[in-house]
Order: sequence, then C-alpha cells, then structure tokens
Amino acid sequence: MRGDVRALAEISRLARLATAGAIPEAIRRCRRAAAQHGATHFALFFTGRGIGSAKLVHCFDEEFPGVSKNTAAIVAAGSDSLSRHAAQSALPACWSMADETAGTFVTCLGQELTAAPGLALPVSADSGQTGLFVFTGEALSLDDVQALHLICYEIFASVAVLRTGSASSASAVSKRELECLKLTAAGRTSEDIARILGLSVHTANQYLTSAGAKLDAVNRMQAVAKAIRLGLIE
Amino acid sequence: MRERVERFPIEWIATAPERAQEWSTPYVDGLSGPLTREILARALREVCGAAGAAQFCLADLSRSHAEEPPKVLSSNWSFDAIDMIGTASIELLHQSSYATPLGQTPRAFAPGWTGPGLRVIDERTAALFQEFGHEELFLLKLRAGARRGVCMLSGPAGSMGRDQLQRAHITLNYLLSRYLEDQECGSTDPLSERERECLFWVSEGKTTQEIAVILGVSGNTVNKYIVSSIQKFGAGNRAMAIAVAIRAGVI
Repeated sequence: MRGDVRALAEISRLARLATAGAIPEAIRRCRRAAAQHGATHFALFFTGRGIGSAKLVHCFDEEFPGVSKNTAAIVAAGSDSLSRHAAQSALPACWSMADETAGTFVTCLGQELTAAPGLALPVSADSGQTGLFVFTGEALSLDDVQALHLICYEIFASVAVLRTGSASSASAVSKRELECLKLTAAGRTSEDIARILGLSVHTANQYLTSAGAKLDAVNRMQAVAKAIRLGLIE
Repeated sequence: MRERVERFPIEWIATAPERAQEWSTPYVDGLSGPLTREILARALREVCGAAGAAQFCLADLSRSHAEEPPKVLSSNWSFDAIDMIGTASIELLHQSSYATPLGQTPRAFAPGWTGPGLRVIDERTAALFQEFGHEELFLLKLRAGARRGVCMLSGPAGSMGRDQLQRAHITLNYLLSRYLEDQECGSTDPLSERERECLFWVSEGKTTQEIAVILGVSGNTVNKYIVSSIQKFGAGNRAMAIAVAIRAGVI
C-alpha cells in the first residue's frame, strides 16, 4: 500500500519535472553522450537508502515519459547488485564487455544484466542525492569513460536540483537559527546553546521552533535531519 | 554563508581559466592490482602534476564516530604545513561555497585576496597558506558511495586550467573510491538493520511510540535500539546520532 502511494507521488513529481523542461534537456544531453560512446539505450535511476533494502528509482530513459523494455530488464535483473555497487563505489561497473581491461578503474559487475554490453556510472549531487546512469548497446565502448562520467555528473546535478523541492522555504532559515541547529546537531541541549550564544534558554528554543517550522519539521530531530540533507548545515 | 554569496557579483568569484593542454597520466592509466598507500601517493603526484598543481592533500571526511577529525590519506605538504594549517582549515573551506562538487566548474580560492569577498578563513591562516606556497587553491569534493572526501590542489596563481581540473577531479574520485574499497575501510555502517530503521524513523520526526507501531515492536525495544545506535556513534543524544548517521551516509 505504501509502495502505491510512493509510486503515485513519483509519477506526479515526474510530470511536474517534464513540464519544467529540465528533464527533456537532460535527456537530450544523455542521448548525445550515449551516441558518442556507442550506446543505444540509456537510463538514469535515483539510488539511496530509505527504509529496507536499497532500490533503484527510475527517473528517465530513452523512451521518456514511458519506460523502455531494456530499462525494465535491467531493474528486474540488477536492482540489487547495481544499488549495492552505487552505495559503495564511485567506479564505473560494466558487464558483458569484450574489452574489460580497457579502463583502469572500470570494475566488473560479475553478473550479465543484459545480452548487450552495459556500463553503470554512479553519480552524486551536492545535496547528497545519489544516482546511477546505465548505458547499454552492442557497440558500447570503454574509450574515455571518464569524459562520459563527467557529463553524467553534470546532467545529474541539473536533475537533482529539481528533486530538492522544499529548498526554497528552507533558504529562509536565518543565520541565528542555523547556528542553533548546528549546535543541536552537535548534541547540545537548549541550555548549552543559550550559554554558548549568550541567549536566554527561551530565545534558543524560539529559534529552534521557528527553524523547525520553516523546514516543515515536526520536532528537533527532523529539523536537524532536514537541514543536513538540504545542505544547510554540514 | 549562503546569503552572503548571493550579495556578491558573480565575477568576483574566480573560476579556473580554460586551457587546451594535454591531459596525460600514464602511471595512473597503467595501474592494476590493489591500491596501496604508496601507489596512491604516486598516482596523486601524477594527477597533481597533470593538473598543473604543485601541492595536493587528500582527506577522508566520512567519520563513523562523532569525535573523529578528518583523516588525511595522502599529501605532499611539508610536515610543518599540515601541523600549522591543520585539517580544520581544510574542513572550513570544504564547507564554503569554494568547494566544488563533481559536475561543476572548479572555483579558485586565493588566500591572499584582500578585496571584497567571502572571509572563509581568518587572516592568520590565510598568511600561513601563502607562506607554504598555496597561492591559489581548488577544493574538489569527492564522494564514493556513502563516503565523502576532499582533495585540495594548490599552487602558483594561474597554473591550473579548468579542463585539467575537471579531469583531475574525476580521476581523484576514482582513486579515492578504489583506495577505500581496497583498504576495506568501507564499512561505515556499524548499525544493525533494526537500529538503522529506528534511527531513520527518528530522523523523520517520529516518536518512540509511533516507531513502535510502525515496526510492530514495543516502545522499550525501540528505545533500546536507539540507545545502542547512539552509543555506537559516540553521540550524546538522538539529534547528534542522527547528524552523525546522515553524514556517514547510514540513513
């Protein structure tokens, strides 16, 4: 049941993104990059750990807004191994490649996800989100994987910005509120914060309450978690 | 910090000049087998040279314990420089807008810059940076899976080009990833699955009673899981445990 709700939220989010024009632009760049490296299929997934085991969340592929058969096959066969790889490594992983020794840093996935050779490139954005680009194609070449990977990082940065939806209200968090959040994240109590910043305990609590409201958090723990995930505090 | 960035015209923030120079790292390209500390140091020296930088400092920023300082994995700085400048300054710079994530054009930071701009480090540290030859420096954010790192490339002003730096950036990220995997220090996940689940729900703002309902266990059990995860992270309370866990990429 919870999965259905999530899927619906995901669809409406993607619909919003599609109209924004950023996704089509990302797909155009991806298609160009794929063609240059001999790939006929490409896909981008969001990875990351929510609850339970890690999963691949489909973002787009060559048949956007639909999902291509190739992508479905990759998810069915490699959801586990690909998300495990993305959670541990930044290195490209390949399968069914003839010239697997071509790249110094290219690792072998040890599982053939598609009949055609494939390449998976883990990416991350400054906001802390992680993703995985997958390219497959009979003529896929490992020449200059680094250049392709760099482009993937650039594309992902533009896509990940869209996904951080609540960043606008979060930017209104004041400097003083951030200081209080930072100290809370360092394990300080309201009394400690009041002493360190030279405020009254009441004022310190007030700052934390208003920061929580701006971040749409129900309590201190969630406010700290959101502030870190949004990159407001390190 | 964020607000201040926006108040300054963008042209005051220098980006690296474009330079059509050859990128060549034969040693790194020829690497095979496990990446030891010695091989890493040699590889970094080559990447540093290919980028036109004189000095490098690669640090691992992911910590599994609250009190842990950032760990320098490899550097060609003199001992005095690391001792006097300290890793705290690198961490300060890493948190500033000068640090570049992959996929962005690297941004130069000049410690000697006295005009308007961001004051990230104090004057004493800025003087130390210059004294040890860090006239212009670039902070490249690295990330391998859940682990974070940073590499600082520095040298004489104008010696590093944009294309070279971006190439260096991805190569450094690969090197860090390979190194951490080979060293088997990739296990920043000390929590059990149940503890991780509990901590995740706490970070979503759920109370003990709510988590107990979600997971179908008693409130005491939930508290037990949370307390043990707080202890494993060396944190003082729930909020701190969450902060450490998110930084370590556990939740």
